[in-house]
Amino acid sequence: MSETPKDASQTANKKPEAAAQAPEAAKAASPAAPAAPAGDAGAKKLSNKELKELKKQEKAAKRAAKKQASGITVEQQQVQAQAKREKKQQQREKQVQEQKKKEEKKRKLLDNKATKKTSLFSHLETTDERRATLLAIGSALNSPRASRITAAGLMVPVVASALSGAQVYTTSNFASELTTPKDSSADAAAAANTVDLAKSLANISLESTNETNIVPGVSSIIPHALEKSLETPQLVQSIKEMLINKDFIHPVISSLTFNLAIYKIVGSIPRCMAMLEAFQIVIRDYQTPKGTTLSRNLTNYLSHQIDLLKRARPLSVTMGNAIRWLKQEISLIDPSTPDHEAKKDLCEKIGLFAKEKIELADQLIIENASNQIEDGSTIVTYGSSKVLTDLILHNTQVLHKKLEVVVVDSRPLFEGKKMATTLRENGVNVVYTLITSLDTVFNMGVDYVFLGAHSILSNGFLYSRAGTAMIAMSAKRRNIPVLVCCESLKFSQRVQLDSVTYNELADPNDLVPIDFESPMERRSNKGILLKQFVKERHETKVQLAKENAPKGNKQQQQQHKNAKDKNSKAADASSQADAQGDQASHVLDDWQKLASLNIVNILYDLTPPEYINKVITEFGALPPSSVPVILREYKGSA
Amino acid sequence: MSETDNFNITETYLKFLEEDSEMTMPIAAIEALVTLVRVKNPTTAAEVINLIKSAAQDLVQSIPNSVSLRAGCDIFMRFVLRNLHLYGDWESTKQHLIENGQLFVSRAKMSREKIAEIGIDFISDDDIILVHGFSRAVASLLAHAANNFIRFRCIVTEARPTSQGKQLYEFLQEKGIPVTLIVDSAVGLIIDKVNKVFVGAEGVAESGGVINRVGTYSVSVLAHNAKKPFYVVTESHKFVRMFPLAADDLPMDRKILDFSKIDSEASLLSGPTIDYTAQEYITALITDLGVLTPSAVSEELIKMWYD
Repeated sequence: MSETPKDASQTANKKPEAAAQAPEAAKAASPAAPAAPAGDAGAKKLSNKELKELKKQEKAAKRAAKKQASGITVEQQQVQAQAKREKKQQQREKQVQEQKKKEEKKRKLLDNKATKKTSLFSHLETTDERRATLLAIGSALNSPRASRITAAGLMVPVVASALSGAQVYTTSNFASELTTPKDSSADAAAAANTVDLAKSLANISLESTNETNIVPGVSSIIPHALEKSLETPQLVQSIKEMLINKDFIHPVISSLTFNLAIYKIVGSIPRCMAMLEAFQIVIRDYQTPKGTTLSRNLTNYLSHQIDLLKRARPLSVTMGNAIRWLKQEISLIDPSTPDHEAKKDLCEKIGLFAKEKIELADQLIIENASNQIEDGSTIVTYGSSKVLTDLILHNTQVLHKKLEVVVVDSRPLFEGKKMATTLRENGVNVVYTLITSLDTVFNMGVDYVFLGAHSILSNGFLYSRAGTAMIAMSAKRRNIPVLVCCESLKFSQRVQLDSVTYNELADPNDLVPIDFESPMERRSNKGILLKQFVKERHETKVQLAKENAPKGNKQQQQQHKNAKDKNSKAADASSQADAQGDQASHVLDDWQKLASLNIVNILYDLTPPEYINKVITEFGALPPSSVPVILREYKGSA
Repeated sequence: MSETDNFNITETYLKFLEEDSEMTMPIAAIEALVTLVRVKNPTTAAEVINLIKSAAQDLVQSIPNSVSLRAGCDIFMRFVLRNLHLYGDWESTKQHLIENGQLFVSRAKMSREKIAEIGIDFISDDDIILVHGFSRAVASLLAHAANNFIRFRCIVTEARPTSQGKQLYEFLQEKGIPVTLIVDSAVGLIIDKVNKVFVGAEGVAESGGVINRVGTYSVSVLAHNAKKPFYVVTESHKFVRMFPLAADDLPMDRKILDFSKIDSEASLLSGPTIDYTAQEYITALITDLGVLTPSAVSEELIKMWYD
C-alpha cells in the first residue's frame, strides 16, 4: 500500500486506465476468489476479506503499470488477460467433466452393488465379497508354484486357462473345462482341500463372461460377477496385504479357513475348537526367526493366521475370546524359556483351555440345568445346540425323566433336523415344527424354552441364530420361562442394542429356491454355481440353435404348442422355461436382475434381557444382568 | 465320647433358635455347625468337609421351610472350603474355623442394626407403610425410625396362615407407632393409600427375587400395579444360591395344591407358608451391604463364591 502512491506519482497519467483494468486482472489471477467491486470497497467498511481484495487489485494495477512501462499496450494486455481467462475456463470445464465422469462411474458401481446389498446392511460384508476375497487368497496359497505377482496383478495360470476356454459355449467344452483346473491345481498343492477348492473355484470362474479385467494387485481368476464386489479400495488393499504375507500362512489354517467358509464347520463352539486345534499344530511347527524371541514374534505370526481366518467368516465371539486368551498366554512366556519347551507348554495350555472352558463347562451346565427340568415336562428348543442335545439326553437316559421336546426349526438351514434326529434316535419324544407355527407350539402346554447362544453381550442381550428373539418374545408373552444354556466363553465385552450394527450376512441365494433334498449341501455354494452354469450354458445353446436353424425353431414352436395344450394356463406362466425344455423355474430365480429387489439373509438376531429368565453357565444359574459381573471378575481367565 | 455320639444337629439348631429370639435361621444353622465341628473334633480336612456336608443335609431335610437355613449352611461351607488350605497346621486351622465362625455369628447379629441405619432414609414423615409378615429386620428398621422421631403410620397384614401379622401389630403398638391390622384380602383395597411397602425375606434368590411368607407375591404385584415402591429389608447372609423361576421350584414341605379330601378345616387352610416374588416387582433391597437393586444380588453372590 505504501508503494502505491509512489508508483502513482511515477505514472500519474496512466493510473485511471490501470485502475479500471484492475478488477478484470484480479479475476483472471484468482478465478476461485469472488471478485469484489472495486468502487464499493472504499465506501464500505473494510472487512478483512475486502482489504485483501483491495490489495490484490492494487497489485494487479501495479503489474499492469509495470508492463505498460516495459512497452506493452493496454489492448495487448487485455488480449493476454482474455486468453488467460479462456484457458482457465477450459481447464475448469475439463475438470468438471472429469469429475462428472468419475462420479458417474462411482454411481454406476454403486448401482451395481445396490442391487446386491440392502442399504440397511450395507456396512456388512456380503458372502460375495467374502467369496471373492477368499478366492483371491486361496488360489495364491494353494498353487504357490503357478501363481506369481506381476505388474498387472496376481496371475494364476491354472484357472486363467480355464477362463480362456470358457469363451466357447458348447457342452463338450464344459467337461474339459471342469477337469483342467481340478487336475492342475491338485498337482500344484498338496493340501487335502485343494480339490474342493479348485472345484468351487472352477465353478465360480466358469460363471464369468469372456472378458476378465485385471484389477492391479488382485488375482485374475476372480470371475466377472464377483469382481464387482472387489471394487472397494479397502478390500483390495486388505487382499494385497494378505497376499504379501501369504508365505506366513500355515497350511492347516488355510484348510480350516476353507472349511469354515463352506460351512463345513458350523456353530460357535465347534469353530472355536477347530481353531484351537489348528493353532496347536501351528505352534508346534513354528520356528522363531533369528534376532527375536518367541514371546514377541509368535503373536505377530498368529495374527497373520487369524487375518486369514477372518476372511472365511467373521470370527465368532468364542474364537475372539480364545485368541485373546492365547495372546495373553504368549506374552506371559518368559523370554529365557527354550523354544521347544515354550511351544510344548503352549500346546498343553491350549488343550487344557479347550477342556476346561468347553467340555467341563458343558458338563457343569448340564448338571445345573438338569435341576431345573422336572419329570414329565415339555421343552421347546430352537435350531440345534450341542449342549442342549446333551442336556436332554442326560435327562432322559441318565436321570430317566420323561420329556417331550419340541424342536422348532427355520429356513434356510434346517439345523433343527439334526437335533430332532439325534433325539429321536435316542428314544426321546420329539415334535418337529417350523418357526411359522410358533403360536400353535406355545399352546401345547410348554413348560420351558431352552435356547442355545452364539454369544451373550455385556448388556445381557442374547446374540443368537436369527429367530431366537421371536421365540423368546412369544414365550415371554405367554409367561413361559426362557432359559439360555451358554458357556462363559461366549460372554462378550461388546455392547449392542440392535442386530443391524453388527451381524453376519449369509448368501441371499439360500433363501430363493427351497431345496428340500439337501439344505446343508446348498450352503457350500458349490451346487448352486454349477447349476447356474449348466443353466446358462443351456440357454446359450438353445439360443444358438435358434439362430442357426430357423427350421428347427418352427418345430420347437410346434412342440411348445402341444405342451401348452396339455398343461393349459399353468404352463403358460412359465412358457419360456417350457420352451427351452427346462423344469419349472422359481419366481425369484432371477432376483439378481431385479434392481428394486433385495434379499437379506442375516444369520443372527438380538434378544433383549427382559425376555430371558435365566442364563445357565458353568458358574451356575444367573440373571442376564450378571454377564458383566462374570466378565469383570474373571477378566484374566476368560 | 457320649457327647459326640449323642450330638444331633437338628436339636442343636432348634435349641439355638429357642434360646435366642433375636437369632435368625441361617445364623442358628452356622452356630449349630460350628458347635458340631467343636464337638466332633474331626482330624482331617476331608473329614471336616464330609461332616459338614452330611450335617447340613440332615438339617435341611429335617427342618421344614429350609430356604434361609440353606443359605446359612452354604455360607459356612464356603467359608470352610476357602479357609481350609490357609493354615498348614491342622489344629490352628480348626481353631481358626471355630473362632471365625463365632465372629461371623456376632457380626451377622449386628447387621440388623446396620440395615436400620441404612434404611431409615427410606422412611419419611407422614408415610403410610404397608408391612406383610413379621420380619426382625423390618421391625428393627421401623423401631429405629420411630426412635428417631419420624412420624409414620403402619398397616400390617394378618399374614395367614401364620399369625405373624398379629405379632408385628403388637410389637409396633408397643413402640408407639400408629398401626392398624387388615386381613390379607384387603390389600387391594388400601394399596392406593399406601406410600411404600416393606417386607422381609426368608431368602433372596440369585435373580434378586425374594422367597418370603406366603402372600408377599400378591402384595408385590398389587404394589407394582399401583406404582408403589416395594422394598425388601433383609440381611445379606440370606442371599442364597438358588434360582427359582416360580414357586414350583422352591423346596416345599407340602404340596402346593392338594386336591385330596381333607376333613378338618384347619388342615384345609394350611397350604405352603412361603412363596416367591420375582425380581421385576422389587424396587430395591435394603441390606447391610447397602441398598441394592435386584440384579446386584447375583453380583454379590458371585463375589462371595468365586473370588
